[in-house]
Amino acid sequence: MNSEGHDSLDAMSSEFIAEIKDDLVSLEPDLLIMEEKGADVDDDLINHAFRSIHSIKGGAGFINFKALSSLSHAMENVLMRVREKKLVITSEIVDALLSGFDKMKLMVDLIGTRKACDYEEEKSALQAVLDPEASKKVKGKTNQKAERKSPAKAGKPGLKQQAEKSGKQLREDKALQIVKPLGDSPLFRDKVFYVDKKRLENALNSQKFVYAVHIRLENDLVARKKDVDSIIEDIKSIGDILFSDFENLKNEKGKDGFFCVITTILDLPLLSQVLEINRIQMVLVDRQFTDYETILKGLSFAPGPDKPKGQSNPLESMPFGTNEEPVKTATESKASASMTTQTIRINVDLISKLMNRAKEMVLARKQLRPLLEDYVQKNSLASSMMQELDMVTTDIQETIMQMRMQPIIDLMGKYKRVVRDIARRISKKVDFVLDGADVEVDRNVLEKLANPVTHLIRNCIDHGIESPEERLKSSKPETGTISVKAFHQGGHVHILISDDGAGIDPQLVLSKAFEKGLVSEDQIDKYTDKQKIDLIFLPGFSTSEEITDISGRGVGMDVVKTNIERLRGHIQIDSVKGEGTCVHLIIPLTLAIVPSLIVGSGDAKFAIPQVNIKEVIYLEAGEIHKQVENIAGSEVLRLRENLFCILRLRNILGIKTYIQNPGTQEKREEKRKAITDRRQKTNACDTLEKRSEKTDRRRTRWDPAYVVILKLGLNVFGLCVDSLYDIEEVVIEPLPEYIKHLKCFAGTTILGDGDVIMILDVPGIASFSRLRFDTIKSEELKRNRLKEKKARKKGKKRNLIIFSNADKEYFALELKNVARLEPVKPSDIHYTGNMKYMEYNSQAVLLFSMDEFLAASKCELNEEEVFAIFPKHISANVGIIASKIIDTIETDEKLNKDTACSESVLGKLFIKDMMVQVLDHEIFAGLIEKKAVIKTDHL
Amino acid sequence: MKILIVDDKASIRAAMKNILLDLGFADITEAVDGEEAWYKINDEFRKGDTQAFELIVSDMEMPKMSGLELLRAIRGSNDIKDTPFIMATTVTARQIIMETMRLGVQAYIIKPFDALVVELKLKQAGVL
Repeated sequence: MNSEGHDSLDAMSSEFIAEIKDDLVSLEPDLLIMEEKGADVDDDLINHAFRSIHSIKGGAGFINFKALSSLSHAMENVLMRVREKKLVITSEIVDALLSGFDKMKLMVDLIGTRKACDYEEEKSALQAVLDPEASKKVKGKTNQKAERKSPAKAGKPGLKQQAEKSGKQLREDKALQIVKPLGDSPLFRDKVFYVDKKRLENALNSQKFVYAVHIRLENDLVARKKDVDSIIEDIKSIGDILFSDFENLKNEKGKDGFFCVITTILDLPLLSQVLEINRIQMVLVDRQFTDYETILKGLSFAPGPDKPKGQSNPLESMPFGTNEEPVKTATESKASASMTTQTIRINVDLISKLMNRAKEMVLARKQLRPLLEDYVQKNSLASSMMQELDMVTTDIQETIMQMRMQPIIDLMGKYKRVVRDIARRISKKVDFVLDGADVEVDRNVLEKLANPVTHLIRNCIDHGIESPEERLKSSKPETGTISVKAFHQGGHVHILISDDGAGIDPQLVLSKAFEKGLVSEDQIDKYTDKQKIDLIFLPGFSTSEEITDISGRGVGMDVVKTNIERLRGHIQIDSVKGEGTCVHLIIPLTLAIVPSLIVGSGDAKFAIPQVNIKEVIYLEAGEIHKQVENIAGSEVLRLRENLFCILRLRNILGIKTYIQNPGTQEKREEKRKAITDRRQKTNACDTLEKRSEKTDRRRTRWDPAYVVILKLGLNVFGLCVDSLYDIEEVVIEPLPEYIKHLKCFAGTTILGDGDVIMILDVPGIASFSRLRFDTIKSEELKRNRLKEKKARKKGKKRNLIIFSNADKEYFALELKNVARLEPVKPSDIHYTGNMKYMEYNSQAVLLFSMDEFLAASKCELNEEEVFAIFPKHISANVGIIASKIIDTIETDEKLNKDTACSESVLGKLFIKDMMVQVLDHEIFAGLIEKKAVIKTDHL
Repeated sequence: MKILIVDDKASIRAAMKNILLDLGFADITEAVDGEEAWYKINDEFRKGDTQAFELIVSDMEMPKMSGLELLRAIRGSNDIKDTPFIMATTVTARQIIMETMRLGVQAYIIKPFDALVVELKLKQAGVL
């Protein structure tokens, strides 16, 4: 949602803070239950609390929030002991944890307020829980400290404590603070100034600007007839000087200028004007109020290198003279900067609500449209307004969708680390490659993807990638690769998770499934390899030899599959033993609005999501029997060399359809089961084969049918419906609870006319009807192979032009090699020695006859008109004389090649009563070329 | 909080007023130049302590009486000399800025301004 270009660090910090807050929220009830149950608390709860604390610690570390990090670390230590059963929960422990929790909450609330809180007490209480002996000392110390610090009520107790600890006796009001100039101006690079903390704070509290100014003696003072005192006077009249080092000026000779830190209400341009000092010599040092940057940009008054930079951490507070790290300010000023992000966190419920409203608006628009259609057509103003309304509603819908979109890297980004960690733990070497990080998915979808994807990736590492030794043994690179590829295709997001590991052994899967009783003995032989692999999707299946802590305790692929299918997505798994596994997830972009085809069966209408539809086919009444046949008990449509299973919607759903008698208008219930069944009584003994015989006179009795070809992953099947309506954008409403178990429906929707209809679930229908894609596939393969075989028997397809040279002597050239045919009268052929010429386009063209190249009779020129054939790919202007052009034919007959053929002949063909010699153009052209050159040389 | 906007340009008065309204100030009066402003300030003050303006946002260059003159008059008066004053101006001569600073303004707004700038300056002036 970071559409505004802003500081990425800030965006991330606030993200982390938000996460920490979430974790805190989830931690609280755990602690409370612990308190309630005491020692009886169950492990899951402890684990959960531990994880929450742990991620708080991680987040705090990331944004460099040391106080929170250290406190959460202390809490984590306690919970770890509890988890390891080295510590039994007592009320004391829970007290310590809860007080720590409260303090953490306070710390998080204080982020951005520049206040810190003391957590020593909580920390030592936690310490005491861990180590009662040592704690006594610590306790004493803290008490002492508490006493000592009590008189000092001002701002930063933690800080002072540090100062005291270090033993330096600093007067409190003398505490100094470091300020750093913003930006990367070379003038101020690496400069820090110590200023009086109180005065600085006063200035910041009254929202004054704090500048570091460099004043040059020559240019800024002497040239303007000023001196140090007068400029100091000037500065004092417009603000306050927090720091200046002009005293050093007198001591150090050769120094050109001095620095000062001043506070004023003047903006930089005004300050520059007043002091008569160039703008690049002054720069802000602090931006405690976050709008500064925006304002500065708006006024564009910091040109070039002076531009303040957000990332730098401008303020570090430090008790002067101590080397100890500041306890809080660094982290907190960073945290406060994080509040500047221009995104806001919106409750997801709110977006969902907005989404629902938008859905209703789309619906209202749809319902309004038909009512207004007439009016709109008559009234041009209304029509443009309707268009406007359409546009706006669509836009709103899309924008809301976008609000929910998140790039997939939000999910996948973390896996690089996960992969690395796990791989290291089980000493394997694995690379993680992510492709398509910016592919965006609905937030809901992404959230629900997290679990299955994690599972799959863990599977990849644990079961997929082999150990380095094994990999080397099978001559693979030592380091395995897990690659995730995401892309959009047809309204879906495809995610391919693949590894180059050991792959899945179908036989092993099968025997495992058999052992577990998931398949019966008689089924075993019938499985294809793919089906065997698919067995891992069965509930209660886990092939791993031993249970590992990485892929869990056999919460197998069935959970993954269910999760994906709940998203209306599909999962496919392809694996080659020894080469790797690829899991293909197909996930819808969004779960809310789907363009669908409305179809009808009987009186009922249904919506089929368009993404599932490959094409729609209309089978004419007389055509059905030609294209539909029965293979292995299911009806199959033959379409363009492919075979598809077809299902009848009315059979699946048990819908009664009626047939109207055209004569009597009488309606009768339709009883046919398959679409190849004809209307009226059919003889039960009639076999399908017989029915589809062409001689069947009653074939017109078949009704026309619409077959909607549906995609299901790589598989395709047809759904036969009775009528087609419109394509509409339907808003999916979930199925009501009491019909939720129905497999064939994905949801319900309300049509433009107010009808409530069901949305068909394509995978559901396929599994409900137990479609046997593999049988069909193998049949298809078989047929295609047969066809290929037939085709191979025949030769290449050729387009030939057949011409005669002499009586009963025929030659053929492939048409593609012929440039032109030109009729010539024999009288127009000119002779020079043994060379023949014709005139073409007032140019002399050399003519050859076939007998000059190969064993052939002399060309007969006794016809009234002969032809010159101009072959292609010849450089010279050359023609071949043919006494007659017989025909052009297309043939795939195989050429007969015998030894008698000259090498320029490809082979012989027998067409009708002719024996045609087909010329090999390449060789033939070579011959012509040679001859033409010799002949012209001759001249 | 009672605020007086002084500017000879209606558009700028309107812009400032809108921003102030957005920031939650409701009681806003306008004056077209320093003179009108001076009268209004005194009139309101005479109605009683509670009626006095609590903030003046004034332009610098105006006919009849400039912002600087208005500021001078206010700071030179007896009763209303402490009224917070925000000067809204373009970048201007050094001497003028020095004088306004010496007289004491709570903030300086450089034109053109926007809501963020005004908000910041109001904070600087201690009224927000």
